[in-house]
Formats: sequence, structure tokens, C-alpha cells
Amino acid sequence: MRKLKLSLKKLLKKLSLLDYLLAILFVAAISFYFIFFKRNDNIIYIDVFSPSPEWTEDSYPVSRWQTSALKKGDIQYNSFGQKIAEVIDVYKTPWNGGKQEYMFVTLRLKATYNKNVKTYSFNGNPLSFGNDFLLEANNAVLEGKVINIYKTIEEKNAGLKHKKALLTVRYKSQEPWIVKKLLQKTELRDDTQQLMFSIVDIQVSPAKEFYPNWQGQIVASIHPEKSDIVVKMEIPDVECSEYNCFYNHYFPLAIGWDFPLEFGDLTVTGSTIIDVQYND
Amino acid sequence: MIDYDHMFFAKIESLYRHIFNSTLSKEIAIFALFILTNFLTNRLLFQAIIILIYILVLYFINRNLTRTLWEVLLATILFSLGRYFPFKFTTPFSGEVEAYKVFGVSFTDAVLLGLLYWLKKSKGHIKARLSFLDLIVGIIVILSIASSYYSPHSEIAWFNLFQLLKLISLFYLSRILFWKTDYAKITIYFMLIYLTLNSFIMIAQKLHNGLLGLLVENYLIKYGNYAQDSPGLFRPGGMSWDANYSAAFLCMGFVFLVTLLVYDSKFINKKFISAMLCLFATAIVISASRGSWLVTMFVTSLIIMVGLFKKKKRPSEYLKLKIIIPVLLFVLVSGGFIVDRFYQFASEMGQSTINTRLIHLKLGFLLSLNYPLGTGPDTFQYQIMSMFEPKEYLFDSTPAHMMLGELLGDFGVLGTLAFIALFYIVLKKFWFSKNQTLSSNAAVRTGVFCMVITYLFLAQIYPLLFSFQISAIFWILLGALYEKA
Repeated sequence: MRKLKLSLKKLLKKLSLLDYLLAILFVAAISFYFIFFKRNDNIIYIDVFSPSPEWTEDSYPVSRWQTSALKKGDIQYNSFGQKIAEVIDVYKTPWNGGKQEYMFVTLRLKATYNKNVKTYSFNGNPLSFGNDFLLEANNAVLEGKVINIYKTIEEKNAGLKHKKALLTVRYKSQEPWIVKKLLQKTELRDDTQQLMFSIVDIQVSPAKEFYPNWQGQIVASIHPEKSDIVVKMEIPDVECSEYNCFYNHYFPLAIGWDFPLEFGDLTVTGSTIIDVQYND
Repeated sequence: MIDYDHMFFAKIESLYRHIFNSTLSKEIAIFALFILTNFLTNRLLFQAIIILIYILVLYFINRNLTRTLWEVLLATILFSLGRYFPFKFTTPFSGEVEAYKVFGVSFTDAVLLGLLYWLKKSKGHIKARLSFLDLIVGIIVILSIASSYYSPHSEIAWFNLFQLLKLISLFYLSRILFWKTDYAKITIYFMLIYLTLNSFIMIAQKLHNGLLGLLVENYLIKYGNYAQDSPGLFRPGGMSWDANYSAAFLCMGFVFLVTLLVYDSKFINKKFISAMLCLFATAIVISASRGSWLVTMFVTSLIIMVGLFKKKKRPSEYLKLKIIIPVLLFVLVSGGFIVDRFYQFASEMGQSTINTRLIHLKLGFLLSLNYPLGTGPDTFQYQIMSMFEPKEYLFDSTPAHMMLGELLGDFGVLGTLAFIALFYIVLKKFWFSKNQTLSSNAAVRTGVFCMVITYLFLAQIYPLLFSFQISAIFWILLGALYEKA
């Protein structure tokens, strides 16, 4: 013990202040290496919805010029040129006549798992449901909220069942030029040429309107120009949760709900879903 | 008949001889040239080349690589030359760290590493010994690593731990190098030159009522920082984006010069001292930084009172100091504005009042109760957002405007005690040292002591602990004070 003390004293006498500083830096560098740089990176999948679903002044959908720039396969690199995020899937829902779009983006991320707080973090920011997320891909940026986190791509689809749906929607009191244009339509495809729905049948009948006459009785009348339209359409892929099914990840398919048609050159409003049938 | 032309050229000749006769003057002249290059370019590649040329020229003059690297290190710290990153760069472990924090690290890092390597290689220069203080620093480092490991914002914590280690390295470097008087001299001269230049720019900005368009100015804040707090009042920050920050730094310089004046030091020519004091006082007043005003007044009166008490100066001698008259006049003329600003400071309404500092202390204490080891270096501003309601941090997530609060939040109670112990040991060693003689060196030492005290006061009002430039100077002074005491 005494020998140990003596040798320690000798060593301390030999060490200079610079050695002490270098020792401190060495300890810090070792901790950096083992605790920080040796952390396991996991590949996880997240869904990001842009903008934030809360209707605040900042949450208007993203402009079309920005949404069209972000594409499937876009990659975010870090400063060392490593791939840290990749866009796997992009879904868009038009708003304001297609000038702006809501975006659902699925990303594959290189995330770090923090064992202490039991959360994933990406590029220094914690990933939790509802957290703000910023993707800076090589082509465009995306700001939104994290709405799903999955460990594997299979997990992403496990909660949702994919079904085919046969939808019947009534569009009331349509002007004749809308009817004429609608009769030319057979299907709708998104910008990746994936089929969104195909029209099975369109029935046009003169628009029936109801109003009180001079005696106060409600009477039906036939409008001379306008038409009521009933459209049957087949949707190849709807996502069903335990409560409801959704078209284009977003629109609930429930009887009584709206289903406005948004073609590039035609918008048909005044809609009500009157029937939904599903095929697995 | 007097030949004015001849006198003029004779003066120029004597100045030329003065500059090129001593190494120190040559180094200062080269430093001035280096400063000029900052006005000409802010392209990173050019700056890297300029720094390399600066190293070569300095080495050619003084033939001492340690000294050369130290001077270049100081120059890069003072002029925030860390921009080898583009504007929105995040380091692999910086996370949400603001861009301005990433600025000011990289050239400094390279020079620092070079200096450490060279010091290790040339063993002859080092004369130092281990002490109890080193144990405390070791404890601080270990506690900081632990707090970063357990931090809920680990990326940010690691990045700032890296900054803290740099500050600690500077503390050690100044202890290792300052046994030679020249290092202390050149360090203080560089700092004063920077402050003089910054006060000139601040005054010019105030006269212009906006940025001047120089490359050294920070363009982050076009209409003046804190415009939302006091609309209509342009607060010039000189080369920094923050008027409070510039004023705090000037306050340290002011206090140092006052000490030199009170102690009759010949460290700097008295005419220069008076001129610089006028300049600094003007810049501090127009910065509208209330905390700096308070600390400047408080520490200056303390120095004057200690001077009286120790009979360094008689009351009548103070009246002879011509500097007091312009400063007093300036303060009286802008009196209404000063009173108005103080009135805001003391009120409980709004942000950036005394109330804010007390709230930050409370938040730091509450964080330390939840995280015994702290939330990691400089993570106070992020953790308060996750732990408290916005109204509890006054809807403004900033670094703690009180060093104690920041230390408690970041390093926990143990870490805070270790930091306090470190500062206490250094200050105590100076206070009880017996070599406080009347020599010129004693005045400089007292000046450095006053600067350290001023920083510690200022840090209770402004978030200075992790503001790299001013903190680097503080840690250098702290190391110098410890070894020189």
C-alpha cells in the first residue's frame, strides 16, 4: 500500500498541468466515443402529416409548387454524406381547388434510441407522436407533425385493413355544363398514375327541388335546367381502422358524409354519400 | 518659423521606429492588419488562407510557435471566425442548436488543437503544478459527462459539453502560458483593441440608426435586437447581434481600465486609458443595456471605494481625473432615458425584467429537483419547454438569464457546488495573496480580478455561461488570475 502511495506521488510529481488537461480531454473523448458515437442507430419508419392538423394561422396546407417538389425516393443526407432519411411514400389531398395540398409522407429514418428516456431521436430531435418534424431532403423540405412511428414496414400496415369499396354518392342540383363534363369522366389517377377510383355508373335525372307554395304547403318541382346525379364508383384501395374506412388516407367513408369530386379540370360539390359496400 | 511638415514626418518616423523596434508592437500591427481583412471578406476559404498567412507572418516575427498560435487563437475567438459551416448547418450532435452558436467554433478548434499538440511536443515551455483546483475541475468534467449521458436532450448536451471542454482547455492554457508576462500583455491588448473597435462601430451604428453594411456586422438582426421589447429604440450591438452581449463585454473592459487608473498603473498610457474609458462609457450608455449599466456602476464604485479605503488615492485626486467630467455629462444628458429604462427593468410587466431572472432561478431549482445530475450543458432552455407551462417561463424559452439557475438546471446541485467551489478557490487565492504590492503588475492583477467579478455579476443578469466569446475571455482571465496570484 505504501509502495503504491509512493509510486502515485512520484507519478503526480512527474505530471505537468498540460498532462492533466490532456487527461481530461482524453476522458471526455473516450466518453464521447463510447456513449455518443457508439450508440446504435435503428432504421424505423414514420408518417408525417403536413401541415399540423390544428387549424391555426400556420396550418394552411402546403403550396403546390412545394408539394410537387417532394417526391418518392428523395433522400436527406447528413454533413458526412450518410443517408439518414428516405421518402418511401407521398400522398397528397388537394385543398383550395388544388392550389395547396395536404401531405402524408412515409419516411425511412436512421434514428437513435435513447435508453434513458426511451424515445427515438432523429438528427438530434426527439421523435414522438405529435412532435414537429423537419425533413430537409436533397430536393425539398417538409415541415409537419409525426403521426405514426413503426419499427418495421409490416407494422405500418398491421393496424389497417385494405379493402375495395363500392361507393354511391348523390350530387344535387348540378348545372348542365358540369353534368356534360362529368359524363366524359371514367376514372381518377393520382400523380404517380395510381388508380384512385373508377366510375361504374352515372344516373342523371332532372333536379327535384322543394319549396312552400302560396298556401304554405311544401311542393316538389322539377328544375328546367339543373340535374341530380347519382354516381357509383369503385375505389380499389381504402384503409379501414376499427371504426371506419378512409379514402386517400383522409376522407372518412360514412353514409351522410361529403364526397366532393376533384378532377384536375372539374370540381363537383353538393355531395352526400348514400351507400357504401366493401369487398375484402 | 516652425516647419510643420518636418514635425509631421518626424512624428511618423518615430511611430514607425516604435512599431518596428519591439516584437509586441509588430504583433499588434499585424493584428490590426488581420482585423482589416475581416472588413474585406467573409468567405470561409479566404478566411482560412488569411489565418494561415497570419500564423506564418507572426511566426516570422517572433520565432515562437506557441506564442503565435496563442495570438491567432485569441484573434479567432474575438472575431468569431468559426464559419466553415454554411448558415443552417447542424453538427452531428448539435440538434436544435441555433446557427449562431455553431458559428465561432471551427477555426478556433483547429488552432486550439494545433496549440495543444505543439505544447505537448515542446516540453520546455511548461512550468506548472497540480493543485486542489484540478480535482474540482475533474469533478466538473465527470459531472458534466454524467449529466450529458442522462440528459433528455442528449445531442444538444454533448455539443455543449464539447464547448465547455474548450472553455476548460482555455483555462488550463492560460495557466500554462501566463507565467511569461508577455502573454498576459498581448491577451489584454488584443481584448482592448477589439472592444475599442466594437465601441466605434456601436457609436457609428447608433448615429446611423441601423447597421452600417460592414462585413463584420451580424446581419441576423437588421432592425436591432429586442425591437419587440422597446419599439423605436435602436440598440446597437457592434459586431455582435446582441446589444446586451456587447455592452457586457465593454463593461469588463471599462472596469479593467478604471482599476488601472485608480492604481496609477503604467500598463497602458494614461491618455489612451481616458480615451478608451470615454469611448466605452458612451457605447455602454447607447447600448441601453440596463444590466451592464448596473454592474458597471456597482463595480466601478466598489473599485473607487477600495481605492479610498486602501489609500491608493485621495478623494481630491479623483476630481483631478478628467475622465469623470465627460462621463458625468453624458449620463446627466441622457438621464431621462436611463431612468425610463430602469423603471421598465424593475416592473413586473413584460419580459427581461428583474422578475425574469428570479423566475429562471426558480425554474433551475425545480429542474435540479427532478434531474439530480442536471439536464446537460446548456439544455435549460429546451427542458423548461417540456417540463413547464408556457406562462411559467413567461412564454419565452431562452437560456437562463441567471448563471445560478443555468448551473442548477444543467448540472444539478452537485455540479453547481463544484462550479462555485472553482470560482471561490480562484478568487480566494487572489484575495488572500500577499503580493498585492503597489507595482504595475499588481494593478493589472487587480484589474483582472475586477473583470472576473464583473463577469460573475453580469452572468447573473445575462446568459453568458455558454456565450463562447465572452466566456472564453473569462476562463482565460480566471486561469491567469489563479496562476498569477
